[in-house]
Amino acid sequence: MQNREIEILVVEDNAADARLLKEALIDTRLPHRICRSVDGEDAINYLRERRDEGSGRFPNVIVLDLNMPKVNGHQFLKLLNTETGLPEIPVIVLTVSQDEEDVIQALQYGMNFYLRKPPSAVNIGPILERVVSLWAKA
Amino acid sequence: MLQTMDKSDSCSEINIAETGSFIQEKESWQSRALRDTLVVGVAISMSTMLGVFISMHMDEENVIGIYLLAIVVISLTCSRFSSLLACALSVFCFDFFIMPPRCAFDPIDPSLFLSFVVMFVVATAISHLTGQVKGLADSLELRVKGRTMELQKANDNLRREVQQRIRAEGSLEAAVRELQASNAVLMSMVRVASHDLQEPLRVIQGYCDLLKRRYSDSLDEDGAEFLDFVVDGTRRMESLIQGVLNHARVKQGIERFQRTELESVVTEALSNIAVSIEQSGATVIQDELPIVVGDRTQLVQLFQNLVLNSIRFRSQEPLVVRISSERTGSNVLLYVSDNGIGIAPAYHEEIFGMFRRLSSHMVPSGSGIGLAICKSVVENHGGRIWVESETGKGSTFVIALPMSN
Repeated sequence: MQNREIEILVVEDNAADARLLKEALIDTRLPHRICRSVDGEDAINYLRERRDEGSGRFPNVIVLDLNMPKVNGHQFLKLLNTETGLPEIPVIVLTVSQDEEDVIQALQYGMNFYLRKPPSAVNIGPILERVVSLWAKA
Repeated sequence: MLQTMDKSDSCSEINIAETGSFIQEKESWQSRALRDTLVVGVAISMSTMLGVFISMHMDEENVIGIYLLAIVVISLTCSRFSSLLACALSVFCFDFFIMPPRCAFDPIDPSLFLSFVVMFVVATAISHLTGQVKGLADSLELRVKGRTMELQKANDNLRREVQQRIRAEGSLEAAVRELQASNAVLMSMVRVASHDLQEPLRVIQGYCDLLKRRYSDSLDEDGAEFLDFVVDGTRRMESLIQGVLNHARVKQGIERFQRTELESVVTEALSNIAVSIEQSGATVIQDELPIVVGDRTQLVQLFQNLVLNSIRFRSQEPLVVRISSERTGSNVLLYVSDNGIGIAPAYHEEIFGMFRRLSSHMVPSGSGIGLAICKSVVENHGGRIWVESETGKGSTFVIALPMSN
């Protein structure tokens, strides 16, 4: 099941965090391709472009930071829910917050997985494998 | 400032009142003399006129009663001097106008002279007795007046005091409200700040892990040690921030009070710190514990912090922590005692402050917030926490909580 490359959309404003995630993903040894947006607005625009291209190619999973300028993680989740013409894309929320409310709200808006920062191969690996296996079944 | 003003106000009020009564007395003394003379004149002349009329139809002796009546009236309404004057005048008028020969003195008749003497004595006695009764009544009235005035004064003072107290209470309430509001703002700021501090810390932690994992082969011994120091520093910083966040959460008082079984609370607290307990080789003994009304999350935190504190300040010998309870009246006393290094009495208060940690090279450093959180939790529950300890003799933390009904 690992022959297919996963396309991961990383929505993260902080370059250091994004790079750390990239390194963690390399450590997982799962074949993947990363595409990065610097905030929620950038990410939703990227998805709209893909939709409008009509190629039917979308990221297989979104890794989302909650605390971002312009359109934050929660707002992005809401937009993703209401946007038409997009397939169901699993979302992994990656945040420093331990606030239950933050997590519950993200769940209500359509989050599928929750991961606390800092990301490492140890914690993001199993999640990605789960996503891939679900995706393979579909 | 306020008080002094009030005092001077009341002083001037009293002065005015006293001066007023003094003036009133002076006026009444003058007018009373005039009025008394008038009353004596009118009463005796009327008695005489009536006497003259009666003596034309009846015996003269009957007129004596009229005069006595006049003397009683005068004694009741006028001064003692006026009564005596009235007595003398009556005898004089009776002899002069009533007794024959009219309009002339006739002191020779011995029986009449006796009547005069008796009449004078009776009149004097009546006037004296009436005067005494009146004096008594007057003094009584004066005393009642005095007391009334004292009462009035006391009443006024009381009213002023009540008003002052109401004002003070009002301003106190406002101050408390202000303090609570600013405290809430401060605490939410602390929460936000601590939250934001965590983000860069996670980045540092993440890259430290990455460096260790990928580059530990290319680092020499020193380099590896330095990296360990960085990792250790970030870990301490993390626990510090977590401590501040927990403290802010407790201080903000987001509480859900309900009947809580302390036994399950302690079990949860111990399972949360199972790793620390195992690593330190500590034995925790849990006795029978009561049910209290409280916030479960906070109470878990309380026992967690106390046991962690015992672990942190353990001595060379194997650590034994005992959690027990006792009922005393309407309170429940909870004990968390250990056989650790103990705390000198000089530090018994200090340890519950924020970032107060006993400086000792023998003990590992903690966040310095644990016991401050304990104190906040206990205070949120309307209780009190203190420590009973001596250096080298272990410590017993005592928590007094109000018992649930």
